[in-house]
Amino acid sequence: MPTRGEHLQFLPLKTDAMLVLLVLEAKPRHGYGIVRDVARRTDGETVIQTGALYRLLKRLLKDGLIEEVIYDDADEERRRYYRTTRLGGAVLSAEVERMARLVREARNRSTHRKPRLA
Amino acid sequence: MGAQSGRSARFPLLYRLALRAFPRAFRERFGEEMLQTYSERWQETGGQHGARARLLLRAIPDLVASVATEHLESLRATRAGHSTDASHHVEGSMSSLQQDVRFALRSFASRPGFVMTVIAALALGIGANAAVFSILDAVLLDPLPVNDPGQVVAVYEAQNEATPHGGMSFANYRKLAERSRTLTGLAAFSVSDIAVDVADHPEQLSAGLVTGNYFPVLGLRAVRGRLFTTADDGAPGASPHVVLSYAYWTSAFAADPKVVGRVIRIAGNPFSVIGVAPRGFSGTELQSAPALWIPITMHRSLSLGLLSSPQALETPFLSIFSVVGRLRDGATAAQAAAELNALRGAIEQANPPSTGSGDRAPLAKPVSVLPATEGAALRDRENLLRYVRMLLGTVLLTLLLACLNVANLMLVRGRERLAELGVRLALGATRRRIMRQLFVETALLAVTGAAAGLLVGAVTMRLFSSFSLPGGIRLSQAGFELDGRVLAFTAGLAIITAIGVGLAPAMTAARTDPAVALRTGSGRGTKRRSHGLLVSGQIAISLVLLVGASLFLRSVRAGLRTDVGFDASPLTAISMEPRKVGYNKIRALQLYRDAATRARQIPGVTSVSVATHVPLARAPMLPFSVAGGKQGENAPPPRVTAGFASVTPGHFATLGVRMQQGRDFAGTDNSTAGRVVILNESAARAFFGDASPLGQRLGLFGDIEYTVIGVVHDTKYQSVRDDGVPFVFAPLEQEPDVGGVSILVRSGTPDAVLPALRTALHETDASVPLRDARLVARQMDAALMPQRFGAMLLSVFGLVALAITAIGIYGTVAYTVTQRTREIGIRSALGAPRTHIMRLVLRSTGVAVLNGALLGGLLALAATRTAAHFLYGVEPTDMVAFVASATVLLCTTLLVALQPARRAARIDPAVAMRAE
Repeated sequence: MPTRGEHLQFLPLKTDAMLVLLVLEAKPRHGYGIVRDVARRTDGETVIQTGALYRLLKRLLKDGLIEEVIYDDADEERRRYYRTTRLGGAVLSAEVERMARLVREARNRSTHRKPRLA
Repeated sequence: MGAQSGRSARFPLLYRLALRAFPRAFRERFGEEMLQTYSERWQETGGQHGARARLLLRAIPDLVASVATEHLESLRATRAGHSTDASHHVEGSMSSLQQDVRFALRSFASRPGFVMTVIAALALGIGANAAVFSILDAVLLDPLPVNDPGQVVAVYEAQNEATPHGGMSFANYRKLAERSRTLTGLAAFSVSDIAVDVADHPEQLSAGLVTGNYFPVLGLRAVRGRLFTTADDGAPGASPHVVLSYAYWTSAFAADPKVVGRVIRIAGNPFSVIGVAPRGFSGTELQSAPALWIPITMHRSLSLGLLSSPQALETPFLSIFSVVGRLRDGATAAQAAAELNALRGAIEQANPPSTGSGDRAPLAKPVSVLPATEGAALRDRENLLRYVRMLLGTVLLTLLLACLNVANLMLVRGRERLAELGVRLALGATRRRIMRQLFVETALLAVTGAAAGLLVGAVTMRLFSSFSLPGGIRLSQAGFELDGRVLAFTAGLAIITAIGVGLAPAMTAARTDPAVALRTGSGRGTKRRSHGLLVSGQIAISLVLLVGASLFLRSVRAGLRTDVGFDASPLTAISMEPRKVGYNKIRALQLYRDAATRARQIPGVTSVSVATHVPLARAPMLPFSVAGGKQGENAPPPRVTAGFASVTPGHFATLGVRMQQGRDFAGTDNSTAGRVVILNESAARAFFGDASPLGQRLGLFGDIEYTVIGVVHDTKYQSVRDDGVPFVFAPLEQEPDVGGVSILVRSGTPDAVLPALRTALHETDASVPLRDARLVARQMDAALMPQRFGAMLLSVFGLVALAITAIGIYGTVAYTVTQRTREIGIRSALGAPRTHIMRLVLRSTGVAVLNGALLGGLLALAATRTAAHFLYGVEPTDMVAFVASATVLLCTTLLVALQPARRAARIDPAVAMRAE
């Protein structure tokens, strides 16, 4: 289990990074698979462009948040797949927790806000 | 289609090229994957143009941003490496070339404006050139994809002086083909649109009706099955066979290897596929690219109007066949022409034309023989050549402008760096090292510019493909692609130019004695004259492009404002072709009546007519002559080629065209009554001069006679440039034997009527294909296509040229200011007023600009003459265009020059003096 301090240094995560970690936590994916899944999860709102994707993957690999797996799919040729590492998972959870807190705060504020005069 | 699959492969290829721009480490680790991912996304678009364009539009900025970030990161990583772990980076571990590149990148980062301008100028010059040269190649230079194309000739027969390269009648063709000795074979063909139904999927396709020897004469071999042979020239109707073009085979049959033997319905009749023509072959004419070929002996089964009449191949009057032949070894086109003309004369003598046929005015040499590659675009070859020459001129000027601009900027930059280079020389850098450094910088700029040019070229081709050239050559079907050789050539040229002009100042710099360089580094420039020339050159070119653009824009405007002679705005039209789904004459007429009745019931419709011709669309031209002997005795009865259309009563009222004499057609002018026609003014004048045409008689094909019952005012018929084209109208009830008609509807709300009309016609008979549902006013736009294309191209180039020139001038003035800071300081210290200082700074550039404008004006006068042919309603020397362009250009340059000049005027003398 990574130490507490180790994953905090990666917060906050950028939206793209978070989406990629999320997708790769569910199942290992190759480049195009990531683009497709991210688009699907966001109802097509976020389409990561190829260059940006691989820059992101490079960084996530370097930080150890994702790792490469050689994945043999019977239908497809052998190619590089990526999946979220345990550290990546921890960072993701921490980020989700952080955002949840943020959302709670925001909700509290909006319910306590007094109606303004027109 | 072939082009389609080619293109889908090409963009990932471009992507692969673009990947090269990434730092090596990144590329080696991720390159393949990125390409794969990108290819998959490309396939995901499923060939939809919109989706592909969106993908491309997003991929380009993504690539640019990614490349830049990665380079910056790798730079940062190296620098970090230097400080923390110096032992790994001893001298030589990084190749000095790499060092040069890094150095160049860093120096570019400090001058983004300079870098962007140079790259933009080069990209524009290279891309546009490659695109236009590719068109030229496809349209005019590309030999036909046939065996030994040099021996293949196109044979034409003159109709009259105005149409020297017309078609031939089949009867004449046959006689010539039998007797010619200089040609090993002579084949005839005719291309028409035909309703083709493959597996209940009807569509309108271009089909070539050909003689059996067509493919053998061209020396083509089938890629599947067989092509036609003379065996297919047998009895009429005995060869229900069809040969598919390679493109159609791949698009409609997915390149099914077992396509031979399949039956498709053409004009309602079954035809079996016997073979597929070789890849890339799409007929021998540019205007048409047949999807399939049918033996000419099947003409009667195709419902093609006159061409399907039983006598079409016998009558000497239907001169609509194109003819191609192959020269015997050693024979020349001139010999063939001489021989065919002699044969033609002999035939004429043997069978003098029958009386009443209205003689062809005897032409000395009616037959002409031309190399087929030239003939391919012949109908409008002269026009096309002029047009392409104009395009070429435009892009060459743009390329020249780009080179001048790059030279100018490089010169400025080289001077600016004299001091820097001096320092480096003084610190012990070798001259070679400095030269190499400068070379690398220039080469990097040039190569990046060329790469961007690739993109500009691709985008330009996209733009082009939606336009057509004069002669109705749709660029999308001319089968042209961005030509790799052309691109390589242009890019090479531009790169060499850029490096050449970039290195010249570098060499001066490197040769300079460091001491001198240091001393004069930011002192006075020595070669201001070359600046002046470069600025003048740029201004001149920009002015030429701007004048061209304004002329074309004014032309389009004039075209839109032309009085076409009819009222286009309230008109809606839809075409229907019932004959192509098996309707006979009588049923077709009934259908037209029903359709008109339904159309009349649409709310808001004031008048309806059915006609075989709608304004500004093509119409058949037929050879009419005066008949009935009421003509003066010594003058031979004139024969006039006139446009022909069949219309219902009320047609002219629907169009808003007034009758000048006589009466309109009436319901009584039907198949039982005598044949009647209405002429337009020009036809009336051409046939009868000043005599009254009413009651006179006209003949057609020697056996049909008409009585003239009325005259209408002239309008524009086939193009807005029409002027005095004779036209003959007959009642549809008497002349229904036509391919299709248009239902024309006049109403106050043409937009709203269009869908209602479509529904009404669909209800009349859903099986009849409808096409070209349109507002007639829109058609006017299409008629101005070459002008629009010219306007678009020249406007884009003109504006970009203006922008590039403006930046160039800004650079020059700013440079002058830096160069003369000290002098300016002294002057203002001595009390020179600000205006004086500004005048000082602006003077040299101003003189160069004015010289350039003068030169440009003269050049434009010469250049616009090439364009004169395509201008409509505007003189090539149009004052408004010249003055407006010059004003825009001069104001822009003044504006951009003022800013650095003001800065000069604000120079603090004390600071300026200290700066040295």
